[in-house]
Amino acid sequence: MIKALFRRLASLVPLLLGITFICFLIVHLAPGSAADLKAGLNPRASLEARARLTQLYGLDKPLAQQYVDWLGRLAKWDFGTSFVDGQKVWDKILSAMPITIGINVLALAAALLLGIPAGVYGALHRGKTFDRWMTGFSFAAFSLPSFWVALILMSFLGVWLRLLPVSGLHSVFYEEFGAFHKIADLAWHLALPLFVASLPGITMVSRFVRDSMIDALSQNYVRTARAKGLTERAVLYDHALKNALLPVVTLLGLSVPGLLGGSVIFETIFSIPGMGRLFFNSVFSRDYPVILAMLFIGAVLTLIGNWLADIGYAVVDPRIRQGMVKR
Amino acid sequence: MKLSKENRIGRNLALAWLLLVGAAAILWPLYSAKGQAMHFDRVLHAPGSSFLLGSDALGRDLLARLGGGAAVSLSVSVVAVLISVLVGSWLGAWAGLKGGLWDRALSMLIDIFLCFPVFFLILAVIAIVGPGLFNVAVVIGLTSWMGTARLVRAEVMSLKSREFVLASRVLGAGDGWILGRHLLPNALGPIAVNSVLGLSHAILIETGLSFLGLGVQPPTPSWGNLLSDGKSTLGLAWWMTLFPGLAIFFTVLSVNTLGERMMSGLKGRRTT
Amino acid sequence: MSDPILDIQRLSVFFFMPETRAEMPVVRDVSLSVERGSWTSIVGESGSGKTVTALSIARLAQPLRDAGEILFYEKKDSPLSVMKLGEKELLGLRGGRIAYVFQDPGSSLNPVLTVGAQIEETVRAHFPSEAKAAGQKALEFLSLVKMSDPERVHRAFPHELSGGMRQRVMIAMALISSPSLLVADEPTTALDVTIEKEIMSLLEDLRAKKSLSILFITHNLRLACGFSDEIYVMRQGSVVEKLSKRSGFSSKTDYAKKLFSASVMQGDPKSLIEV
Repeated sequence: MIKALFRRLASLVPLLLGITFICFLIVHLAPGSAADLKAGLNPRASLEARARLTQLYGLDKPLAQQYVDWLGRLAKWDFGTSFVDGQKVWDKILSAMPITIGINVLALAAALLLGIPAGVYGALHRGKTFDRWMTGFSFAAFSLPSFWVALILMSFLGVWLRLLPVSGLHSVFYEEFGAFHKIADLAWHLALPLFVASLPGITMVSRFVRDSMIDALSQNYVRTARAKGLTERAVLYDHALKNALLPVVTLLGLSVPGLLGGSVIFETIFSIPGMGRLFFNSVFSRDYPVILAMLFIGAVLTLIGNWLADIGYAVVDPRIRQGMVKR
Repeated sequence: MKLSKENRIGRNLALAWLLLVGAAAILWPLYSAKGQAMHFDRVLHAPGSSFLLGSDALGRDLLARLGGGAAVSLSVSVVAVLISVLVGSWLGAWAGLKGGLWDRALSMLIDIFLCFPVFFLILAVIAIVGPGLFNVAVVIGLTSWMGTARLVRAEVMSLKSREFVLASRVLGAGDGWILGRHLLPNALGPIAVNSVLGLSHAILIETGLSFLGLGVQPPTPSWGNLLSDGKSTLGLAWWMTLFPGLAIFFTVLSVNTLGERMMSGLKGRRTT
Repeated sequence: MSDPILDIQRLSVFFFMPETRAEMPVVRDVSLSVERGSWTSIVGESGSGKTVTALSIARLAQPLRDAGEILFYEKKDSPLSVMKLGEKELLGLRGGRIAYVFQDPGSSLNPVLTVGAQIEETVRAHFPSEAKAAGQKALEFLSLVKMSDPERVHRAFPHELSGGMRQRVMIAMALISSPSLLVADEPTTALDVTIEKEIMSLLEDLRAKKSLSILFITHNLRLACGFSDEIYVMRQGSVVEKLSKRSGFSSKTDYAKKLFSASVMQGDPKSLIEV
């Protein structure tokens, strides 16, 4: 079993290399060289300065050499320094990562806590009012631009009703709050962004669980369970639901890229200092080392999500687990 | 296959809305002057007699600008989908037909591309090539070809060993002929459905980019940058936030509705 | 003297057809009975209503509506009317006094639970006081159905076992609560011929050992003739004929003769059949 997991990991290595290659390719699509761009921020940079920068960033070396150098730096987890403020890129990302990961984990948790019961209820009362509304609502939610939802909520709850804050993670006097007050303040600030972040997840999970549950309920082993005289509750939870939830694990792992993309929008709108907003700012200011690093890390996180989805499935489904071992 | 009454109403509404939006888009050159005219005496007017849907911070007619946004957002999305379908079909067909190394290479390429969060990839490329109508269309197109490629590859692979293809080969047909005449036409159905759904995806991405200021640049209107104006007038001008968003929502919803219909029509059975 | 353990009287079962938006009778006015301790079979082609009849005995069919009477004589002279039972009593009946074995053991077992867990589930549901000894009892019954390595099977998942082994598991699971009636719906149809022979003999064996009454559903008339005391032939929802071993399964209808000749020969049937 462990061997199979490592074999899975090993198969990710060529993907990883491919990712580095694409990242490298993209950045070197720049019409001018990176030195030009950095110098470009300072229009008075002299020719000498440009020459120095070119040498410093090794931009006069052949592309292949640059790629290898970059790979070497990657291996040491050295992403260079930001063009904007000279801070180490990795430090910037590191301070932003926990916030994004935290919010998205909470969003996933909300998706599961609300989506699963909704889906099960819809499956059990198929075709009736709740189910029809849920299905319709999920379909509509899929077509909603998240930035619009954020704006509507902001103007309604934030500006008009003044119920929730619309920006940042903390109130002005946060530092002076007691521990409990700090947590409450954080929660208050996170309410809107979390809602916007969870909405697509909730609708997707509920729709998925509903379909999966309907399918499970039509299976023969459910008939057997009923014929054994088990209570309807036992039939639903021990048999149907257990099977219906198997693919949800994969769904979670595969939602990483979507969550990261969505983070760019709601973090920017709500001024949350996470990875999404960092990426947006770096794109706006053409801060190439950060852009490159974010692109790479985003891809790595997606890769990890896929890998987790894979092993997650093996953990919960004995058929897959044994299939892996036999191979 | 009869549609239930509410499904039929939904489909008709979707078609009606898209026709409206399409007309607004095509006719944009006729009223673009109206959309660009600034009236500094009637800045930020609520919807009423002078402006049906209100005016923005520069006194421009929101309704006219929404029409302009339709033209822009639709044309960008259509171009993007065309690019992604062309690139995807070509790559997928080739890999499916040739098999072997070509196929493995394509699958690897697709897998690598899929590792990137789409929005990240698009933003990174925009950072380099710069924003703007054309760039956005091309970038979206070049980052969404994977779905079509997989589909076409699967279709081609399943069809290439069928008898009519073998017969065609015996008669001396080359790869291109076989692809164009026999294989691709069969894949058109799924490709069409994929394109329709790709269209709604493209609209959401373009408007999202424009909203963030990295897509279509003002003064060219896009529903996205109109919404961004809405953000800067939040609390002051509710119409600036509501109407552009509704435009995006209704359009994406209509496209998705038609896409679902097509998909269920294709499968020959009803979806929920 | 007739001593039925199950008496179905004029059973009709209706399902809702979405295409025609009307109800359709799948079982029409069917009357049949199973003598205590006997092996009774229902033979028919697909669509004859035989499965729905079998499922209706424990109200497992979930129809639009049904009519008629189903009397279960667990004790002689005190019948239980299945149609009138409440929820709780029905749950006690199912799997407890009337047990089922279904056609495709591969899909009839929950793939994510071990076989042992699923067998013990039945024990816990019907004999909660014996919950602690459930594991032991499961092993006991796995040996009863002639598993060579009951311990291994107990720990295994359904997909690790062969078709024949899975069906034995289903049988063990059905018998563990000591039911008086076993309803077997085409239990061997999905199995190889040699395995089918083994399962059929196993059922025969267990009938004697556990004083079981068996209601056997199949499309294979020849197979039924080899093991049954009485056979009801169904066609399009109704019983068209009743054959009995006593009269050498002699048939008066062409339909039965057609069914017989259509069935594949199953090795040596226990009694000689000339129709």
